[in-house]
Amino acid sequence: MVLPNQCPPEASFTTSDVYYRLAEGTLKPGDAPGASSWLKPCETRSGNYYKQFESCDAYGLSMFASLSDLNHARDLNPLMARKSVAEFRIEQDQGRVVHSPSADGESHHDWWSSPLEFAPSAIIIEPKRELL
Amino acid sequence: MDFTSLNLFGTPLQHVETYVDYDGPRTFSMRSAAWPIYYIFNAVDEDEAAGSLTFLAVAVTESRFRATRSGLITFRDAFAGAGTGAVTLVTWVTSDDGRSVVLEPISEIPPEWLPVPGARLNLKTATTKAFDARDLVHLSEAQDRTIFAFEVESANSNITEFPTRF
Repeated sequence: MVLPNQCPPEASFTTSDVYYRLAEGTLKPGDAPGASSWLKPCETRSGNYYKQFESCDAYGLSMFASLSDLNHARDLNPLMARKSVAEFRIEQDQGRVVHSPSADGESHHDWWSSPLEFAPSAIIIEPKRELL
Repeated sequence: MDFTSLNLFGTPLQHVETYVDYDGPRTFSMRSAAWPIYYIFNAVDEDEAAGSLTFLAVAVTESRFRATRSGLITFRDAFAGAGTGAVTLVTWVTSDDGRSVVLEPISEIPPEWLPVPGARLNLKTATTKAFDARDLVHLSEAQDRTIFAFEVESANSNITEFPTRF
């Protein structure tokens, strides 16, 4: 995979911080997320950006800086509630991020990892939600 | 995934806003370009092997949309409390040959497809049109009379006289 031109966007920046991302629903706290948790949107058949190799968004991974924000998203969205939550840290030399808040998700970011295939060390901190 | 031209009442649809983004919009709203109808979409299921992603789409009036957006109506009730025929299952299937979409009405929503009880959007939502002094000028000219506006400072609602500004 090769990023398209002008990707990551000009507004992107490097960071050294902790973020949260969803992982497989079968995982338990303490587990490590598998490779499927780090698939780019262009590699995810069921996603919006499958094979859209010319789109910069197709290479950016969603992540939240706030666990509370991610859990609010899981409250609203049942598909996300059925996945576990992974905590990970990225460093300055591991890619660029853009702050991309949604209307009800202030701490949402997109991350273009470097190298592109890079997957950080991560640990599951919350299991999938049980049916309420 | 082109949600603007789905075969729903009021199509074409226009994107209003995204509430949850996760590798693409997962919870978002759209409105009819021609009618005062809104749709709230929520991703509820996926099958990576089959390449499918399923959304619930609930049709709501403008007032119900505002009530949901502001959190007056819980997000679960926006779907579970929808009227007959208001909820449609929208399933996108992606293969190496392309992408297709199937729409089906749904009357009973499986509990695992509903938001957590009590979860709400919490977005500042206007309940009336914002004041614009230019509207008064137009009205005054059209009616050939003086019209004035006054602003009431009602920080303390227990008093019966308010300071006003003309």
